[in-house]
Amino acid sequence: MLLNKDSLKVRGIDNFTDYIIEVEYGYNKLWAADSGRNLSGTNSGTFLGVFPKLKITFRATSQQELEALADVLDSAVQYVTYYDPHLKRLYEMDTYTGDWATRNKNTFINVAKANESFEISFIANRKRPSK
Amino acid sequence: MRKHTQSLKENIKIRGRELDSILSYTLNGERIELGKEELNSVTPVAQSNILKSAMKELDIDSNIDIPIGTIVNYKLGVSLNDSPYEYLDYGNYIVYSSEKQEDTNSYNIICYDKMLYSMIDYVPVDIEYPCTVRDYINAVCEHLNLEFASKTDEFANWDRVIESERYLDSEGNSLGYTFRDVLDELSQVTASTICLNNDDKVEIRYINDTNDTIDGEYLKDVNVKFGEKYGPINSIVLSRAAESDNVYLQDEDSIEQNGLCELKISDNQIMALNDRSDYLPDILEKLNGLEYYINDFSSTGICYYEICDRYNVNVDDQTYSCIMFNDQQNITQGLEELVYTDMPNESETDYKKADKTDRRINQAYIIVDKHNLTIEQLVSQTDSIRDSLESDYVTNNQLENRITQTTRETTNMISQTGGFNLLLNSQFYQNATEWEKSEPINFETLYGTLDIEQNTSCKSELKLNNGSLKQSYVTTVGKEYTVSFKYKKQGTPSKESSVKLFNGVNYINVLIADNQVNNRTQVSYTYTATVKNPQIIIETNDDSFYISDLIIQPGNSTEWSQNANETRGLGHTLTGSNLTIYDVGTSGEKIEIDPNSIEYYDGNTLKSYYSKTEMKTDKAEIVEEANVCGLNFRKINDNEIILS
Repeated sequence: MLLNKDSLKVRGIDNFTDYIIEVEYGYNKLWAADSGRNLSGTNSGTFLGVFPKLKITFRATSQQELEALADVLDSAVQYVTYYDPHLKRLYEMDTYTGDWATRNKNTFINVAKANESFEISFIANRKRPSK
Repeated sequence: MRKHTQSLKENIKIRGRELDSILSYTLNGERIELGKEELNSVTPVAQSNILKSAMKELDIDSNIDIPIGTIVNYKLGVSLNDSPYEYLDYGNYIVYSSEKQEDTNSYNIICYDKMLYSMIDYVPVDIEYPCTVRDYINAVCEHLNLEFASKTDEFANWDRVIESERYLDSEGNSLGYTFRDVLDELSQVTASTICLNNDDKVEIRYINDTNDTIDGEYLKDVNVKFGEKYGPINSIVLSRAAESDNVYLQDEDSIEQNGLCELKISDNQIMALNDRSDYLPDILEKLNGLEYYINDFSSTGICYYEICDRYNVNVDDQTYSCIMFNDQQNITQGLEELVYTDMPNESETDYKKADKTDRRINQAYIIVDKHNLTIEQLVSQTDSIRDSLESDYVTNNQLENRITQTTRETTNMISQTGGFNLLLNSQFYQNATEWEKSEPINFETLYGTLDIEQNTSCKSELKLNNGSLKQSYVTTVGKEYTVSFKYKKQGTPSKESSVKLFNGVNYINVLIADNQVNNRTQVSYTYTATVKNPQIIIETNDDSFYISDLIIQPGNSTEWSQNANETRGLGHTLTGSNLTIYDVGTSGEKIEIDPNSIEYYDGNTLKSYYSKTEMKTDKAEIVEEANVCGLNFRKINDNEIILS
C-alpha cells in the first residue's frame, strides 16, 4: 500500500512516486502443476507462494524523464521496495517487468510532456517470504 | 514407515501445502546443503518384492554437480500455513553417475543406496564352514563393509547350517554370482526382503503392519487401479533341476478354504541339497496367509511409507489391504507419487511328482551340486526286503563310485534309501552314532537273525541294558506328529524302562514299561508339536530293553522308514556326496570318502590320507618303479635297484 513517498521506491529512479499516477498492488498466488481435485473431489495441490505484482501507471513524461525511466524499466532485474500489508513492513523484491509502450500525440502543442502516460507491471521473481 | 507425525500426514494432502528439499553431503571436509534453489527435481525410487533384496535409487536434477562416490542424504520437508517444515528422512545414497544436460544447464545425477556395494562378483568371505545362515549373512555384510542389523536376532532359518561354500566351485572359481545374487537367495532362505535401513545397516525385513489407512484424499483422480487380491499363500515349493524336482510344505486347511496359492523358490544354492525340506517350516510360518491387493495408482503424495509397509486404502467404501513394494516420488515444484504392486509370476506345481521331503523310494532325483561340480542321481525300487541298491556318482573328473549290497539269509547287510523319519540312524548302527549316549552306558545293536529279519522293517534292534540314548529332531509348531516303535522288555521285572519326549520344559511319557514283555509290541503316540526342537529319550536301568522300527514322522502313520537325508546300512553311511564304510566287526576301522579325498581311520586315528595332490601314510610299498622328487628308483631284480 502507498503510505507516503518513501513507501514505494525503485532502485535507480530518484523520487519514483513523482512519476506515478496510480499503483495497483497484486498479491498473486502460484500453484504447482500437481494442483487439482483428488479422487474425493477435494481441491489439493502444492502452494508455491505469493508473488507480488505492482501495476504502475506513469504520468506523461518529458524526454529526459523517460530516458531516466527506460534504463531501469528495460533492465533484466529491478529492485522494488513497497509496503506489504501481510508483512506489515517495507519489503524489497527483485522483479522483472512486462512489456511497456509510450505514445506521442500533439507533439507540437506540448513538447514538455510529449510522452503520454503508460502502464507497466513489476512482477516478483521469487515468492514473498513468511512473516 | 518413515518417521513422521500425524500433522505431516494431514498437511501433505491439503491444498496449500508447501514443500522443501534438502540434499546434504560433505565435500573436502565441508558440509554442503543444496535446497530448492539448486535442485530442480528429486525422484526417490524403490523397487522391491518379497524374497528379493532391494536397492533404493535417487535421481536428481541439480544446478550443482556432485562428484561420483559422494554420499548424500535427502530429506523432504512439508509445511502448511507457514508452519515449520517437518522433514522425512529418505536416508543415504551414493552418487553413481552425473551427466551435464547442456539444454537446461543442469546435472542429471543418479544415486543408489549402499546396496550398491553388493553389485560386485562374489568372492570367498571370511567365515569357517559349517556356519549358520545368520553368521554367513554377517560375514557377507562385513565383506561389503556394511553392518548387519540382525546379527543377534532370530529370523526364519537363522540357525540352519550351511555346510560349505555354495557360490564358488570346489577350486574356488566363480560360478557367475554377485553378492547381490547371494543376498537375493538369502532373502529366499529367510523368507524376507533384505534391504538397508536409514542407518545404512542391512536388515532382514518382513511385512510391517502399519495399521495406517489412506483414502481418496491421497489419490489423484486419474490412474487409480486396484486389481484382484493375491493370496493367501498356503504352499511353499522348493524346486531344482529345471523345476522338475520339487519339495513342498502346505497349509491344508487354508487350501481347502481358499484354494491353492503357491510360492515357488527355484534353484536356490543354499536350499539345493537333500536337507532343503528342513527350510520349509520357517518359510511357511513367515509367508503362510500372506495376501494383498494388486494396485497401480497415482497419488498426490503420501511419502511416509517404506518398502514392505502394509497399509489400507479406502475408496468408495471398499478397503484394499496393500503392501508397498514399488514407489516413485516425482518431487519438482509439486509432488506426484506413483505406486504399484504387480501380481507375482504364477507357478503351478505337479504335486503328484513333488513330495514333502527328498524321499528316494519310488522316486528319481537329480541334484546339480555346482560347488562340487557333481551330478548325483538315484533311482530306487521299493520293497520291504530289498535285493539290491545301486547308486551311481559321476563327477566332472570322471570318477565313478558304485555301491552294491545284497541281502543274505544269515547276515544282514541292508541299505535303504531315505524316508520320512525325523530321526537319524534309527537303526542304531555304528555304535549308535547320531545319538547322544549317557555315561556309563551298556547297549548293543542286534541284526542278522531270522527273528529280526522277519519281524522288523528296519532289520535291526537296539538292546539297551543300562543308560540312555537321546536325539533332538525338528518339528513345526502346531503340526501333528507320531512316534512309533516296537519294544520288548526282559531282564529285571521291577526295573523301569521308558521312552519319553522332552520339549525343554516337560516330559511326555510315550512308554513306561515295568512289566516283562517278551513279544514285540507296537507302541504309537500322536501329538501336536509345541516346540521346534524336541528330544526323544530312551532309557533303562539294569534291564534288557529292546527297541526296533523306531520312527517319528509327520501325520499319524506308524510305518517305519529311514531319515530323508541319509542312506545308511550296517556297513556304510551315505550323506550327500560323503561315503563312510565301516568294519562291521569290532575293529573300529572305517574309510571316509568325499569328492576330494579318501581317509582311513583306525578308531579315531587317521592312518592314511589320499587326495588329488598328496598322499600320507605310515608305510608304502612300491613294487617296480617310483619317482620321488625327480629321483627315479627302478627294480632290476631282487638284489638290484637302479637310481637315476
